[in-house]
Formats: sequence, C-alpha cells, structure tokens
Amino acid sequence: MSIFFRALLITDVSSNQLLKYVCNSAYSSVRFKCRDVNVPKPGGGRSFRRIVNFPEKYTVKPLSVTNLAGRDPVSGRVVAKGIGGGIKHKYHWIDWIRDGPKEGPPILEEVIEVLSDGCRTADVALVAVGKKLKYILATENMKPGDILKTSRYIPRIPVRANEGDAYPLGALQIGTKVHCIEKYEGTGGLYVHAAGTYGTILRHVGTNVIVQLPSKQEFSFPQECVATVGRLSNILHGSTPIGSAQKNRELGNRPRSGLWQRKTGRHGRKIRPLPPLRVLGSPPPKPLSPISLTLDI
Amino acid sequence: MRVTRTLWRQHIGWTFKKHWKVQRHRVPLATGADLVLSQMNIPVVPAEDIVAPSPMRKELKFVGLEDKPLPWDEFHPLYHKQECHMYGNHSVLLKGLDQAKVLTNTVELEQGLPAALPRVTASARHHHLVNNLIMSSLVLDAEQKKLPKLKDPERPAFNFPREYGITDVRGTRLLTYRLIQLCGSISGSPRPVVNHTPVKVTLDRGGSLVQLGMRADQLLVAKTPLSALVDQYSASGMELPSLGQAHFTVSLETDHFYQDSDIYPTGSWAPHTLVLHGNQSEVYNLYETPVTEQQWLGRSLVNLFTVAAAYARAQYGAGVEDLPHPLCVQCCHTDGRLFHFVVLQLNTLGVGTELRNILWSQPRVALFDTCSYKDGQPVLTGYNSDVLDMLLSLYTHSITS
Repeated sequence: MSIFFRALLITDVSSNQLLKYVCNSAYSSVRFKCRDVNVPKPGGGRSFRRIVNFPEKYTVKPLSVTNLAGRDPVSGRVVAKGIGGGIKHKYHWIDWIRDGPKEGPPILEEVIEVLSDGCRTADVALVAVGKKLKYILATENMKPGDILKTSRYIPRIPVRANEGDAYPLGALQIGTKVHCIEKYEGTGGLYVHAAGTYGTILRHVGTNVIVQLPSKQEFSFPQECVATVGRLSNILHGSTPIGSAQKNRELGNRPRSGLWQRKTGRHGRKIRPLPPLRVLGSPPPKPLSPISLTLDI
Repeated sequence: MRVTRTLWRQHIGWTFKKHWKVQRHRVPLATGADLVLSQMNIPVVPAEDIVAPSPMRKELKFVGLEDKPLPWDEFHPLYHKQECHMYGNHSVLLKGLDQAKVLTNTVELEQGLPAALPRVTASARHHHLVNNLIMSSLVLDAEQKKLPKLKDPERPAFNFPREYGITDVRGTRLLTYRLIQLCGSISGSPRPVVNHTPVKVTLDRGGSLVQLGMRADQLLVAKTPLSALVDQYSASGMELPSLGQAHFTVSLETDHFYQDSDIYPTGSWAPHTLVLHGNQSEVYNLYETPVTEQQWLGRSLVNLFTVAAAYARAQYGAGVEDLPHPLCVQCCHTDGRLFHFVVLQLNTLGVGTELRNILWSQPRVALFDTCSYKDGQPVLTGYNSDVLDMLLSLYTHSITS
C-alpha cells in the first residue's frame, strides 16, 4: 500500500470509504457496466420534433416548446433522423372539444381573429364565447366577426350548417365537408387537422355515419361524434413546394445525404385496394401501466 | 454462418442480466377485481400505502433559514373560493372601449371633451419649450439599453442587429414628468403630484368579482374633487354597448388567490388628473397580437374608473353604490407619442341600476410625427400644438381649488 493510501487510512471514516471505492473500481470498471436504455421506435403517433410545455389550466397564451431534434426525451437517444434546427415557434393550444347542448338551440361563438401558427399547417382562430377565449382550427373562409354554432343535438331533419359550425355527424347532410372529427363521443376532434384537408360524409348506416377521410379510406363513426363543418384553411399549403434547401432548414429539417433519383414511373404505379371500412365503436379500456421491478442486491 | 453465439459456462451471469433486463418490465393483468369490490362497497387502496407507509417527517427549525413558502392550495391565507377576474397593469380588454363601458357602467353623451371644460392656449414660447423637452426625453437622454428584438413577419429567420437606446418606459416617463412640470409653471400654481403609486379596488359586477389594480404613473390631486359637469341623472337608462357573444369579463385572467381590499394612496385628497403610461413593452394582449386602437381607449376608461372608484370607496365606505355627489376625474393616457384625453363623471359604482357613469373622450392625437436621429442629427417633425393646449386645459381646470 502506498504512502498516500496509508495516510488516508489513518485520517477518518470518509477516507476509508474513498479507499474502498478506489480499490473496488480496479475490479469492476464503470466502463463495462451495462446501462439499461430503452430507446423507442419511431411511429405510434409520437412526435420527436418538439414537446409543448402545457400548463395545468387551459390558456390562450402561446406556449413555449422544447425542440427535441429527433431525440427521445427520456433516454436522449436519436430516434428520428433528419430533424433539427429551424425557427422556434410558440404553440397555440387548440381546444379540441367543441361541447354544445344535447337539447335546445346551439351555443353561439364569435371569431375574434384568425392567426397563423408556426407549429401546424392550418391557421388557428381565436374564438370568444361567454367568459372564455379559446383557439380552434380555422376553416377556409373564416374571418373575424363570424358567428359559429355548436351543438350535440341530432334533429330528425339534417341541419343546414355553415362553415365552422360543430354538429354531431348524425345531424349533418350527406356530402358535407367536415374536419376535426371525434373518434369517440366527447373525446375531442382527432381526425383531419392538416391545412386544406377535409373529410366527406358518404352515407348513414344505422346509428353510424360513414366518412371518407383525405386518405380516401372510409371510416364508420358513431353518429354522436362531433365534427366541424368545412374545409381547413391554408388550402395552398399542399400544392406549395418548400422551394429551397434553406427554407427546409427553417422548417426544422436537416439536409439529406446520398444520391436520390426520382422514379420514372415507366411501368405505372401499383394500384392497391383501399383498406376495408374501419368501424369505430366505444373506446377500448385503458391498458394498465407497466411495472418496473428492481433487484435490490 | 453461425446463428447463435456459444455461451460459455462462466458467462451465465451475463445471461441472467440480459434476461432480467427484459423480464423486469411487467404489465399487470386487468382482472377487474377492483370493479367487483367497488360494487360490493369494499374500498380499494394501493398496496404501497399498506406495505410501505410514507415516513413521518419531522420539521426541524434552524436559525437563519427561512421557512418554506406556503403551497398554493386551498389552505393558503390568500385563497378564496370565489374566483376573481384580475385587471392589472398589462391588461387590455378584448372588445376595447365597448367592453370597458359595460364593465364600468359608462355611456358617452357626446363626442369630444366636455363643452364646460375651459380651453387654454399656450404661447409660442411654451411650444418651443415643449419641442425641447420632447427632444431631450426621447432622443437626447443618456440611457442606452437593449431595445426589444426586431422581427420581420415575412422573414422570420432573419436576425436584425440589436439596437440600443432609450426604452419606451423611460422615454414616456421623462416626457410626461416634464410636461406636467411645464404645465405647473405655466399655470402659476403647481398641483401636488403623486408618482408611481398603486391603486386597487375590488368590485362585484353582476355576480362576477373583478379586481381592478393599476399603477398610477402620475396622479395630480386636489383638496376638493372636481364638480359635476352635467346632472348625474342625465344619462339614466341609456343603453350600454352590445358585446355580441362575449361576457364583459372575457380576456381577464382569473385567480383564486387575491387580497380583497382597496388601495387609494392619497387619503382625503381627491384625484384631479391621472397621467397614465401605455407603453407597448408593458401592455399586451394575452394572445400576443398587437394592442388595437379601441383597446387603448378602453384602457384609459378602466384605469380612470379605478382611480375614481377607489377614492369614492375611501370617502363613502366600501358599501357605496350610487354616489351622494358625482365625482369628476380627468385622464391623459400616452405612449410617448399619442395622447388620449378622457374625462369621467362617476355617478355610481353599481351595475344593476339605471344610473350611468358619463364619459367624454376624443380620438388619440399625436404630439409629433417622428422624433429620432436622421443622418446623424436629431430631428423632430410634425409637432402638434393642440396636445399641450389640451393638457393645459385639463391641468388648469378648477385651478382655484
């Protein structure tokens, strides 16, 4: 034992602990320790672009975001490549649930302003109703001063809905363009959020309503599911090219590498049949959260 | 090709480690037992609460250490069950002047300032002095601080060079302090002024509790309040503006933690004229769009009403609604360039009565067009002499008192 270690031994207890650590580290190096890192796979509805710092209570104050650059916020490992940089935008918290009365006349809401939000493609509209201010997705022709109707009542005769009104699918006529469609009753608009998109009501089957979504796939929703009428704003978004590599960087996408060649289409495209009609019923029970056991040896 | 690795006997520990890494994460099976038990009225508690109850922590007191701040819950001394709509220094109302009128139960009898207000005209020498004080406040002051970031909405990625200079808070403060001092010199009998003082009043407006709090940047006071300009019943029963689908408290933030008390700073001295600063760096919409013209006008009314209501409460008690004697207060609301002159006659603090408060207001007027350096030289263009005349008229109103 060297003079240094001897000196440590005779000083105090903490020095003893230090010596023990130094001796042990020679046998089991940290370098060869196995870290239990769980890296998620991309997909499954999770975004690795940003997380929004939501407060407890709903507010129209634009929220700060934390950009992730394609990383999983838990493990810190890169999950999605090609994401990073760009302009940091504040997030406008959309109130997805358009809740109206189940009986009687609809609630009236007033559009105060139509704003553009850097975190999504469609514009957002600031709406005032009673003491509350909230954001909803703006439709194609929405403008300040518009009065919107919101109801959950399904009348015998279909309603004559205007753009921006929210009604249950069962209350709307066949052929109506809709967006922000609820998956299950009362859970808030989930389907059709992107700029310029809309779903079309095709037919009523029993207590269900069949809607064709922008992907052309047909979904059968319960007739109580609320949808907003009209096509979403910023309709030129889909046909506008990004334009330049620099613009793509501003959008938060990193440069791609490798030789990319456009397919010629020499033999035409493969025509595949659409997936079968998807019927949505009641929400599935919430799965129990997994338990992580530890070995305290 | 070898499909699997040969695992030697001495590496069995490694295998266990790998196996445990996967097997330690378990998803419990949903047996539905809790549902059955709850149907039989048997309480279900988490097993951890029984097996490992949380240890009791003993609070130790150390000299020199501050106590932990109280948690913001319903046991906090400032907690009230009824939520309060808070109007503060930064607040603006969504619907601007119309919403302010409904909130304060106020109507306008006529456009412009009251005819009974005596008009005063300043001399050319005084206007020359005002020219000088504008330059010295907004251009020639020695303050050099970082100004707000410049952003071009068309090119959001572009970073402009950071500018240094006089902040709008300091510029406005210097300008109004000097203008009020000049008005005192011109009138010959300077009024007492209270600078930078808080004013607060909490009111029940139709079942909704509203707390109006503000900072009076300059409050000119007098021993006796200004007398009524018109009969207090002259506007009774007049209709208030319609706010459409919005309530008059829309866009006001709500809170359960507040002090239900009033603040009026000068005791028995009555408010004469309120000089209010409306700087763009301080006043903003909650949804971060620029404050509109109507919202600036609404802010003048609400702040002036706050001062008048706080004085009325201090004089006649917290329970007063219809005032025994109407109270007249004036206001000059400015952002350093645009000036808004308002006169309010406070007749009532209630909302359900026929009695209405009366407002006289004129559109905002600019003191100048530009005041900045141009080609390295300080330049002031478009000076408007009406602003000093109007400010002087308000200042000298009922000067003998």
